[in-house]
Amino acid sequence: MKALMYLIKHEFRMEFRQKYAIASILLFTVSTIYVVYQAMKKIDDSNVWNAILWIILLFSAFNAIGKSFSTEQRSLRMYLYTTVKPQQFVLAKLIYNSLFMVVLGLLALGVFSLFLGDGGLGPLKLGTYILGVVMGSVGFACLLTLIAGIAAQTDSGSGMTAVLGLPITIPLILIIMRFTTQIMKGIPFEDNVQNILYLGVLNVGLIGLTYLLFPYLWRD
Amino acid sequence: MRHLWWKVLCGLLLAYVTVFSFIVPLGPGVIGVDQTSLSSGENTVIIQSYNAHLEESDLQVFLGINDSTYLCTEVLEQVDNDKLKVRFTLPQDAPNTSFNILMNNAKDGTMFFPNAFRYADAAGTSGDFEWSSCPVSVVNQENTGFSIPFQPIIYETIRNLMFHVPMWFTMFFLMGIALVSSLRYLSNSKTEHDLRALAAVQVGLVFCVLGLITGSVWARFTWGAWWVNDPQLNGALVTFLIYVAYIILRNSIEDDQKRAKIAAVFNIFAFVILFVLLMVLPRFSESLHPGKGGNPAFNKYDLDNTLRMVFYPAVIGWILLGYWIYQLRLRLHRIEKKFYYNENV
Repeated sequence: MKALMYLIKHEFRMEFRQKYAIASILLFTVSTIYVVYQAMKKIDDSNVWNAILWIILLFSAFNAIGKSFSTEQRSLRMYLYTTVKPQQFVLAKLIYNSLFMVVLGLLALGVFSLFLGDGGLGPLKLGTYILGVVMGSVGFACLLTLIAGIAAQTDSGSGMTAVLGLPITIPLILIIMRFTTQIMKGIPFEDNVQNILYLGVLNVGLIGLTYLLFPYLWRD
Repeated sequence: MRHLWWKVLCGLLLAYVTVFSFIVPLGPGVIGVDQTSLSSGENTVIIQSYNAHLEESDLQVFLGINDSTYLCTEVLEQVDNDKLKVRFTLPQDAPNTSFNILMNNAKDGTMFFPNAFRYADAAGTSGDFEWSSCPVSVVNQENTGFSIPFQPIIYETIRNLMFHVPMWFTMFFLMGIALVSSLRYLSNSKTEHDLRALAAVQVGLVFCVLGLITGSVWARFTWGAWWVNDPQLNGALVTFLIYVAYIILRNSIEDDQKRAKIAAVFNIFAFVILFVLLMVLPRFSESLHPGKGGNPAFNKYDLDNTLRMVFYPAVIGWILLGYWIYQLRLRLHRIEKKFYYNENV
């Protein structure tokens, strides 16, 4: 537990020490939103609004998590290899990536609504929509952490994340799109809650799988 | 020779399936009418049938609203081989609803065509309605001939059932072998299990492509498009993409041991997500595909005994064929290993 807390702190420290990495991810997300703004000005159709927001979030997630293993130095990895268990290491990665993705997702939602309007969402449905963004971001983090770990081991590096990750994210995207489209349509939360529960079960399953499979990737 | 029995069985089953699924005729049925709306009073319509014995003297035609209300018609003449002209008188206060056609003779049994006509008249009723003077005891007879069951819209393409569905069963069987091999590789790191997983995925991908092609052709003839946006079809395409990604992943790693381990990890991860995508998600949303989203699968009520006699051997035959090709592929990989690295596995 102590080691886990230390590893999470270490991830944050590493990230803030390399400010350019965070800056590049933020720049990617914000500039994509700005490009969409230049192309469409204001989106009134709630389906289009929803679809574009999730496309931006999907590619931001690939961008952010795709490099979470490749930025480490080899010597550092050798040091961690001798001191902590792989399960602790990957749990720290999962927690850090989830937190990072939630912050990035909420930020993207804010900037997106600032530029392109709220797409007919309104303040009443905003709460459940934020829940959707949080769960979706955690889902991206859970799914892509192991994929990024696999991609970092290949000879082609982080470009592999997209090849391996895109087909695999489709189930997640299908669930989260159904959840958020139903929010936009104004369907009450009670009739929509099974989607978010389903997403939660999928996330727990993914965390379990990552926890079990990561130790095999750890040594090379 | 003794261990070859299952290969012989596979060949015999597939020959049997191919011959039967193309030679057994399609059962009789009604495929259309020349007009779709009825007027009160006397109506004369031409009914188009398929493979039915219209020349039989005991042929009877009924109009039905539900399971107990039928109106008798008078058979006028047989226009040509498949067409029949019938006449009936519809009372003005008949219900405003749709009418089914039931055709009946001892040889063909009862042929059912749902929602053939609509009747909408200001004087029509919406309540219960009873026709007297019609003997309804003869409907719902069994077809006595040996044939593949007639289904509206599907017609002759029902023969594709022996090819399209077993392709996916075979693919799942092979991907199951790949999953078990990957799990065993992670537990004991023997090259043999890695080669097995690779061979199974390669052959499974071939069956996946065949399943997509046969499904696409079937969709063109029944739904009207080569591809429709449907959870089941999306799942099939994603399956294909994931296993192509598996092959790409293998090719991008040079070191043998590392490649085997990483590919095994990806295979297990992908299979679990595929399971969610193919088995769980389609049940939560609407789908055109039989067996999903509240649609009945074929075996609910359409798969009669004739079809079963061909369908089950087809499934077994195709799975055996898949396993056979998988074994050949595996032997090839073993020989390559031995040839290049002089390594016995």
